[in-house]
Amino acid sequence: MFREVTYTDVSRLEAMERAEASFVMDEDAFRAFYERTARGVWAYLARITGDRQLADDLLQETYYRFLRAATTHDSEAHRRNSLYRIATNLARDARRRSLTHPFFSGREGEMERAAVGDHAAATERQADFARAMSLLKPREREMLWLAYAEGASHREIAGMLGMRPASIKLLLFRARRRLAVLLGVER
Amino acid sequence: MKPLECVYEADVLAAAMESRWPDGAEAQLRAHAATCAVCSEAALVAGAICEASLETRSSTVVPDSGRVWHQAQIRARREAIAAAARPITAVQLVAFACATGLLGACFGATSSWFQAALQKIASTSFAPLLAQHASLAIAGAAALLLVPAAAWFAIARSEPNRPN
Repeated sequence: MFREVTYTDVSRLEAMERAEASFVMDEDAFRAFYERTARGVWAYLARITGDRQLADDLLQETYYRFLRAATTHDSEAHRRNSLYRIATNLARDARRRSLTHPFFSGREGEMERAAVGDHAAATERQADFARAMSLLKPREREMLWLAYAEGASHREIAGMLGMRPASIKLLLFRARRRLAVLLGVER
Repeated sequence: MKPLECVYEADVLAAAMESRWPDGAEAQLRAHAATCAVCSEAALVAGAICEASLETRSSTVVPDSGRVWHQAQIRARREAIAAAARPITAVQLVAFACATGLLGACFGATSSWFQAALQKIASTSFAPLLAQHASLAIAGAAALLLVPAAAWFAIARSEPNRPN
């Protein structure tokens, strides 16, 4: 026996169709974009939060919000910048929520211990780097990673972090100096 | 005060970000960086970040793209259904309020003892009446405030997260 289709069923079906149509790209395009960017976004999230588990959660949320964002992207660079802006905002929200349970709370070497294994010198170097990063301000970590790991320009960094392009140069310089001092002390 | 930039900084950064620093870089550039605070800092920081980036990217396993896509689809559908159900909930609430009001009006118009009670209330002053039935009056007032508030919260809680 077939159940009678009600108004609610019809509106549900319409809502589901609208939900799929609202994605900014189709499945093939998304999968290709994800393959190109996911590792970079994960590394960014893991390094600015200092937490692999949180990076896993935020990665999925980042891509979901990217798909649902009602934005048209005119280039790959624009798409990538939107993605990192969403990731940055999510990491900042998570930081605000975790004020009683701050990031980098004695778990700085966790990523390196899990990742490098036998390479003792590399492990040591990476642990030092993680400790030095943990002593920076969140915005400094974000700027440095985007500039030197992602190769983003000052204008792109400003867009991703919601800052004025004119202020990036000086702030990035100061952040780099701080990290250099911390690494110099550590190494 | 130390300078903010150096003409060789871009070359040093490029070498560090391409993992060519220091061994793969030109000897002249290395000699310059040894005496330039800006370039030595750039090389140290960019080199460390690039090394960390390569290590992090190579060691991590991200979820499969197909899985992420399907989870996004499922979540979008769920949120769309919840959003579509919200106006129905609001309409149901308004309809319930109207029906209750209509029933109350019919009851008031047809019930003789209710009309007699209303006339009695109208002819007496409110102060003693309120004093006599204070708890009932407070409960009625609270219900008038709490029922709409509860309905509003019920609708607001079912609202899904909006994308950035």
